[in-house]
This record gives sequence, C-alpha cells and structure tokens, in this order.
Amino acid sequence: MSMLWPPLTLLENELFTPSDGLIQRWRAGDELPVDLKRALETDPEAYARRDALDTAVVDHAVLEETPVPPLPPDLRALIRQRVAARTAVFSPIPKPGQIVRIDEARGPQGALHWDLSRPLAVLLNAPTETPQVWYSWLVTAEADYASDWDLLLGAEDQPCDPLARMIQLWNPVHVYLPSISRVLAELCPERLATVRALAAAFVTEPPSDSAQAQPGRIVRRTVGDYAVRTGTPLGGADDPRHRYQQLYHAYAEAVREPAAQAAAQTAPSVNRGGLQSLADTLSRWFEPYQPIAHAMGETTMPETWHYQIPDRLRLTLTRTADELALLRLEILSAESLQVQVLDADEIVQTARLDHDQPVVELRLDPAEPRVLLIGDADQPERYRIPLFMEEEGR
Amino acid sequence: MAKLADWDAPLQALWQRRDDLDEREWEQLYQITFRILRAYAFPEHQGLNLPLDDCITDFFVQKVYEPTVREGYSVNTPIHANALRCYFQRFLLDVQRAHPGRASLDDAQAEREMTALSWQEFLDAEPDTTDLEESFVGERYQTAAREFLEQQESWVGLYLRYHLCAHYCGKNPVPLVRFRNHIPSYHQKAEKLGLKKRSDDEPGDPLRHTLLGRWLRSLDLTLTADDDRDRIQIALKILCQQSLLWVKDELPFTDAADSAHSEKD
Repeated sequence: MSMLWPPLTLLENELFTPSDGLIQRWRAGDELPVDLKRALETDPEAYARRDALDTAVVDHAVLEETPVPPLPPDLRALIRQRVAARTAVFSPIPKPGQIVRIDEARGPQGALHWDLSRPLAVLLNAPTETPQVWYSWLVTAEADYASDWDLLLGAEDQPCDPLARMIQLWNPVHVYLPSISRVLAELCPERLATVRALAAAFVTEPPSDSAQAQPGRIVRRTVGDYAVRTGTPLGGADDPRHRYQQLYHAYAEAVREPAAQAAAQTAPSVNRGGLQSLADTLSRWFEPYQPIAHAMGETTMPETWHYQIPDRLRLTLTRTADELALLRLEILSAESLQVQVLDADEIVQTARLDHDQPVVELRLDPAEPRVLLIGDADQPERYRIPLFMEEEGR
Repeated sequence: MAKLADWDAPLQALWQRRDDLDEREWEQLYQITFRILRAYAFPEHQGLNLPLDDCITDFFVQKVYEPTVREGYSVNTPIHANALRCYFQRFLLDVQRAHPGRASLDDAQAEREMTALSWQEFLDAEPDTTDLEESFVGERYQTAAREFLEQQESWVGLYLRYHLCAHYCGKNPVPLVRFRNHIPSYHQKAEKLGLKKRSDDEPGDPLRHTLLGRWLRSLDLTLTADDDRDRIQIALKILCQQSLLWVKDELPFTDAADSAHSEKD
C-alpha cells in the first residue's frame, strides 16, 4: 500500500489542534473569545508552542548564503494554476458549479471565531429555501485519499485553484454565502451535471465492493453518459481513507454551523399541530412503540414519538431548540439502509445507515414540503413518505 | 552577511499578501522560506530519510501555499523568521510521527537496498493515443520539457541525455557511477532525479519527491492513475527527445560502452 500524502497525523494535527496563527495571536495578547482562551490556557502543548515562539528568537543569527535550488516543477505548476484562477473572470453572483473558498466561519451574527487552520472549499449546487444558504459538497486538495465517491477535477476544469482537487460527494453540506471569501473555479454545466449524476449514484447504488479498494489509485469510470475520475472503494478498517473521511466530516462543521444558524434564524416554528401532523404521518408507516424506560416510569421528554420496524429500524421524533422537527433514525440490523430527503425530485440530504454509522438525525423544516425515502440495496424506495405536505384546501 | 531578522519584513510582506501574489512573488516567498529554514539546524529531521530540501518544499506547499486566506482576516496572522522555524519544526515532528520506526540507514545498508527504477518500460512502450488530442498534448509536453531542462541545474540534463535517454540516439546509457567525478554528490542527485530508489525502509511512493515525479505531477500526471499511463509514456519520450536536442554539455569521459553492462551502483 502506498503512503498517502499528506500523512493523516499531519492532517489531523493541522485540522484539530490550535493553529499556528492562533498561538501567535494568543502570544501577542490579541483579544480572543473567552472559551478559546481558556482552552489554550489549559493545553500544555499550546503553552509549549507559545514558549518556543517566546524563547527561541535569534535575530542575531547570521544567515548563511545557502544556494536555493530551482523551484520544483510541481510547485511551479501549482503556483501557475493558482495565479490563473486568480486572474480568471468568474461570476460575482454565486451560481451552481462555482467552487468557493471559506476562510472563516461566519454566521448571520458575524464571525464565530472558530480556529480554522486551513480554508475550506465547497462546490455550490443549488440554493435552499433559506435565503443565502445553498446545497453544496465539500471540496478538498488531498487527491491521494480519493474514494469511489470523490470526483477528481482535471484539466477540463481549469482555471481552478489547486485547493480544489476533489469533490467529496459523500460529504454534502449547506453553506451560508456570506462565509465565502473567493471563487476558486467555475465548473461548466456539463461537468456540474456529471457531479450531480455521480451524487445520485452515490445514494442509489448498492454499497461498493471493499475488495476493490486500492488507496491512492485513480480510476476512470462512467456514470450514465459521463466519464469521471475517482478513487477506488473504501477497504477494511485499515484503509486510511476511513479516518480521512471522519476528519473532513468533522472539519466541515465550520461550513454547516453558520448555515444552520441562518436556517434557524429564518425558520418558522413548528407549531404543535405541525409536529403532531408529522407524528400522525409516521404512525401510518411505522409501528409506534413505548420505550422500556418509559414503561418503567422514568420521566419522558414532552412531545417525543417513537416508531420502529421491529429488529430493523427505530425512529424518534422530537422538537429542536430552534423549533424544527428532529427525526432520529437508528439501524438495528446488519443490513445497511439508505435515507434520502427529497425536495420535489432533488436530493437535499442523504445518509447511509450501517454498522459504522448506525444513527442519523434529520432536521426537518415544516415550511419545506419534503419526501423521505428509506430503502435498501434491493429496493431503494422501500418507503416513500411525504412530509409536511400542504393540506388540501389550505 | 544578512541577519535572519532582516528577512522578517520581506517575509511578512509576502506572507500577508499570499492570496494575491503573482508567480514571481510566490517564487520569492519560496526562496525566503528556504533560506530562513536552511539557516537553522533541525534535529527533528534526523531519521526521516528524506532530504531536508524536500521537507521544506512539502512544508511550503502544506503550510504556506495551501492555507492561504484573504488579507485582513483574523486568521491571517503575522509571521517572522523564528515563527517560521517553529512551524517547520512542528511539521517535521508530525511527519516523523507518521513514520514510526523509521530510522536512518547506514550507507552500506542503503546501498544494498537500492534498486534502479524502471523508467525504461515507459520509454519502450508504445502509447495508445486513440483518445488523446495528440498534437495538443505533445505540444504542451514539449514546452514543459524544454522549460524543465532550462530551469533545472545542468546535471539534470546530463543524466537525462547520457543515461536515461541515451538509447534514443543509439548510444548505451552511461552508468551512473561514471558520473562520480563529474557531478558532485552524484548518487544523491541520481536519487533526487528519480533514477535510483531512495534509501527508504518504508513503503511509499518512490517518485513523489523525485524531480521526474514532480515534473510528471506538474503535467497533472500520476503513476497511480490508470488512464495516465499513455500520457506518461508520451511525456517521458518527449522529455528525452528534448534533452537530446537541448543539452549540449559534453561529458569528459566517452568510454560509456565498456561499462554499459556493469551498472552496479
């Protein structure tokens, strides 16, 4: 197995330990959010890194005249691609197919002061019903870690900043447009159609054959009428791409959180009737049940409904703090299930329930008519449940 | 003689403007980064079995080039030479942790473990050009090959012309060992170009840090991509043709034929 670059330890430390910039700001006495400052003050490694900056200043050191080797050709190519993307003319208005960069987590109330050591990128797909929030997929630079559901960008997508090398179709996110700092590329309509076709295949095709896993290998395949370059399916537990995906799924929270805040700000409350109506709908499809804890007389949360497909799936419906409906699905069997939420025929959320991810939570807005699909490999649409449909005559 | 602190101002000026640098300014930032880091000793580099220059380039891509953010953002913090040193130290430690158990090999052991990389199979193969816009691809690769030869130090052209590509003009390749007195550190340079496998004891992509590997990557070609093999074959053939055309330096020895079969180094 080839060593993939960058190593996961490097990436993990970069994404999830205090950034170099944050240590610098802490050292310089910049004003930092209280919780962030407290976290730094209780982190011995952060102290060590700050001390290294404090104590090792050697401005009197003499710089030897070390000859600098020529710029490596791959680095020169990266620089040229970036400069070409900088000078390209992209639409100033966000449009489907644009790949945009996010430098800091910024919600409706301003910067969230998250410590982002690396900028993030997303491919814009379509606007949601929440103003300024779009459906998108995360886009990253580490092509070595491509799986069969990562689409690799290529020469046909130039000009394109090298920060955007692969589209993580397994990692859809909502993005809040004011978070965006710069456009990195603009995919042509046919390429965007290709991306969408592969995204649809991701949620409809049966799970990939892990025996085909070859981390680091790039293959060409066809999806419908489109040719794409991707990695190979994920392998067993020792496949480093599992960890890579976990890291980026977590890091993408910096994109999701501002969008969630924007949605919460504009979402109408789920009135009692709306939640009850959804509960009634679900009871027509699934078997309501009373959890053991309730039967034993323990305090229950108000407005919580429980359903099940015995030995296969458990569902719990509640209200969120921001007045949306929260539907929790938990798989009970070894066979995986695919969950999709549709807006008309457009997929707005997907998840796979299996041994590795047994639980998924769906936040549902009563103002948005949606269809919930639950299926398996044999029957992708085993359950097709209209949610929050407008009542006739209303 | 410059002091390290003398580099702080130009480093800071370029660092803060990373989001808007042009090609020349990026090259300047690379040179400054390189000079600063080369002025320090890094015990953390011990045992990595990767030349420090390559570590600096990896660091530059990973920690300077990629995390570029818009000027003025709170995350775009100031920089100075010593901070750069600290960042690089931490980078080396992270890379070190990714290779547990890797230790330096002594020269003899390294020598035993070296095996020649076979570029020859690419050069001998006949690429399938059915799906390629051959003239466009060829022209692009030709320009890139010429630029590569112009920008690299002269030993790169010598190795290509007289070793890797010699058979293109009907000559036997000059064994690498024959360059010993002509190219300082001839062995390391052969590794750097990609003519010899590095003395790593870890699995990995042996070409990632070689100049030939880097050149192919600059053309968006990767050996692990199924559909890049034809393009790689074309690119390498063109690089060879260009090296025969453009490399004019002569070697001080011409007795290549007598040792062509004694390639042992």
